[in-house]
This record gives sequence, structure tokens and C-alpha cells, in this order.
Amino acid sequence: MKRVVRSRGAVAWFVVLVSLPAATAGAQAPCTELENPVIGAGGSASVPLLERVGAALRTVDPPITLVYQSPGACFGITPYVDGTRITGTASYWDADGSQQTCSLPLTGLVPDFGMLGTAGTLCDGVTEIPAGIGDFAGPVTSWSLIVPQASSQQAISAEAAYFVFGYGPLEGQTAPWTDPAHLWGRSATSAALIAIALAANVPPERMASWFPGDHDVRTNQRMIERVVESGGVAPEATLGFVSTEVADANRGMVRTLAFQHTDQTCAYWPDSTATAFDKRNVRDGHYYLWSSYHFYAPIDSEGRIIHENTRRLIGYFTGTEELPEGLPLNQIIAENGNVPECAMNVWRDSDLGPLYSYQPAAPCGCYYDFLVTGATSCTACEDSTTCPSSAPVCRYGYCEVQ
Amino acid sequence: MRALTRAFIVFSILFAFACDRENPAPPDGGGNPQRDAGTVDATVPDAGPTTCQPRSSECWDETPTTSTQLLNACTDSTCVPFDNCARLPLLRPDGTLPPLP
Repeated sequence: MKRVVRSRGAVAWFVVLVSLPAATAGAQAPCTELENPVIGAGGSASVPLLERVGAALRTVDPPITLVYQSPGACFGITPYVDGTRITGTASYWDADGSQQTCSLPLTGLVPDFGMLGTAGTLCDGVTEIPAGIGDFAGPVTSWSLIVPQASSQQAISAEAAYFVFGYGPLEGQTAPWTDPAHLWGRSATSAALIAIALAANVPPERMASWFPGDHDVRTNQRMIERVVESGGVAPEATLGFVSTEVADANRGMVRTLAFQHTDQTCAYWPDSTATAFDKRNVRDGHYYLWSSYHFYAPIDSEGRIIHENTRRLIGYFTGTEELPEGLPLNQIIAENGNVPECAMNVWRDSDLGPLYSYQPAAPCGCYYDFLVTGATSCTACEDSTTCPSSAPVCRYGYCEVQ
Repeated sequence: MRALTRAFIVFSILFAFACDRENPAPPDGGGNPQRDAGTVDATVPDAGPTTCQPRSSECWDETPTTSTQLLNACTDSTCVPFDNCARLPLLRPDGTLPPLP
């Protein structure tokens, strides 16, 4: 087993520094003493999804308390590579969705699971996933290059991103994104940065180098705030990036640019129009910037997740555990702006890799259409006996092809 | 089998009308818009360009089987072309990317 961690010391110190103020607060309940806790770490993009799922999990039988700390996507894999322990405080959610804070042990702990929007092997210093750690595909997330509402820009290409993020805003000469004062980004531990760097064919570390100081905004939500602030000064020059579900939740303030990938003849939004929420272009392959979430967790020799409640949690996403009453997971995923695997018509075997046509084993595209648009052309059904031969299987209330 | 031909001769005309479009505009003004819009070819013409040329505004109107065909399959989704040639002054004369500095 080869483990190469070039930045081990830096990672450990970063976690300590991020956690320090909270570690001294001391008033919160211990995370490990919550009811059936499952403690995760990773990126901030997944927090809105975990908030919804975490609230629902408090109502299932037996309940799970989902605890999550979000220092950055790559911190969802580094604990399993170099033993980095998370300390300080973490978030969990009540059944009504209200966020609470709990204290992690002063000596830290290795989380039960990690959650990243890209593969852990894309993180700096991680050359392979260690033996004994499983990699499980979660729902699909997409990435948005965003501008403030006042910007007139509608689209960007992979080649334009190559110049902006590879040459830098000044030398890249890609108007109007030529002013480093209004270019906002993340560190190379961010899944959003890694994904966009991959699409632009720019090394992530090089892309991150254009975001010194407070131009590394550290979280998705902070990115929204900075783009809005910067847009008040220079709307055309302002450019940032977040996960699309975060951009969608803030459409009153920012806009997602349509993206035109290399070899693509036109730029597309994640949705069928700039104002829709249907993720049609993610599902059918016209929007290039997407990947499935990766869950990482310790597994036994048979590939089963060792921690029982973590196995339940991740199993709900992967379909290996039957969904309990009170957890309408596909509905939660859709309403959060993500796409369940069962609603995808294309897939890829590596993050931002080549696309291929995809037929899910148990499709839910009709149900997904209904959830996100309020309508579907599919035949409604109560069981498969009422479905036509062209779509003979009743799933989630609609006739699917299999 | 690709049923459609590569219609580079109409690219510049198409591009003038291609902004913020839904289906690509038919080059002859009639018939099936998606079919008439022609096939996708984001690569260089057979003879090889000597100058950067705007990409085809065509779409792939058959069942897509490759990644490029999926990216360019005909759809009624809205799209807006990004003109690399016009907006990226550091592109090489033939439209390709220079290496990173």
C-alpha cells in the first residue's frame, strides 16, 4: 500500500487552526454522546444536503444523528490517509432542520465517513485510496462558475477558464475577467476548484495560486457573499465558483454561467434554461461540470462498512439499505438541487471524465421530472399492471422502461 | 452511420444568428431544424484551418454514442455559444491552446 502525503503537517495544523475557536467554547454537547451519532467530515458543498438528510434521519426508527464538520472536501479523505483527526466543533440537525453544534473530543477523532464532491485521489498528496477504506458513489452534484446578477455575461468556455485560471486574470487577457481583485476562489482542497481545474485542464495547485489571502473564500456560502460584494463594485469583472446547489439556493444574488466544454459547440446551463431547476443538461450530458459525491468509510474484508450506523447512512444513498419510513431520499436529493443516480441518463467512470449513455438499473427519471418541474409525460401508476409495454415497470408512481 | 454532412460553409452565417438560441437555426430556413442544422464537428476541417474559426453551431441528431456526441446532441434546451476565437486573444492562430507559462 502506497501512501504519499506531501502536506501532512500542513493538513493537521489547518484542522487544528480551523477548530481552535470552537474547541475553546466548550459549552456544546459531546458529539459522541448524541443518539446514534454518525460523524462525517468533508466539503461545505454537501452541507445543505446533509442538513435535509440529517433532519429526516432524526425521525427514522432507530434514529441517526448525523454530525458533520466541513473544513474542506479533501479533509474527507486525509484522515484515512495520514491519520489526521478532526477536533473542535461540528454541526448536527434537529428533526425540524435547525442546526446545532456539538463538541468533538479534545484529542480529536477519525470521522466515521468522509464526503467529497470529487475523488479523494484528486486531492494533493493522495495517490490512492488506502486499503480498508471503501469508496461509495453518492448523488450527483454539479459545479457552477458564477457571476453577480448585474453582470451581462452568460457563458464561459473551458478554453476561457484555461486562460483565466491557468495564466491568471491579468496575463490570461480573457475579458471581462482580467482583474485579480474581483476573481474569487478556493484552495486546492476544494472539490469545486478541483473539478473546474480538471475541466479547464489546469493543475489545481496552479489554479489555487490566483486566490491569495482572502481571495480564498474557504466555503461555498462565503463565495456567494464575496461575489455579491465584488459585484457591487465591478459586476463584469467578478467571477467565482460554487457547487450548483449552492448557486441555485442563491439565484437572487448570483447567476450560473452556461459552460461550453472543449469539443462542444454551444454553452449550456445545468438546467434546460437559465431559470429552470430541472438539471436536464446534467442528466443528459450537455452540462459537463458534474460528478457524483464520494463517500469514504472504513470497510471490513468483505467490503462492508464497519460502523453500523454509517453503513445504514451510506447504504440509504447507494441502495444497499432499504429506505426507512420518514426518509424520502430521492425527493430530498432532488429538492436540494442534486440528481440521484437513478435519474441520470449519462454517466462517467472518473470525475470529469468521458461521458457515456447510461440506463439506471432502477430508473426514477419520471419521478425526478415530476419533483423538479411539477409535471412529467410518463404514465402514472399504482403498480406495474397498469403500465404500457414501452414502460412496463411502476417505480415511484410512474411507469419506467425497466 | 452519420447521416448528415459537415457544413462548414454555413458556419459564419449560422454564427451570426446563433446567439442565445434554442434549437440551432436551420441553414436553409426550412425543414427539420435539428437535422438541417447538420452534424457536430468541433474538430478542425479536413483540410485543416490556418486561422481560428468559430465552432459549428450544429448538433448531433442521431443516437449519441460518444462523449462528444452526448455533449452536442440536439436538444430543446437553451444554449449560448462562447466564441473562443473572438474572445481569447492568446489562442494560437490555428485556434489551439498554447501551453501554460
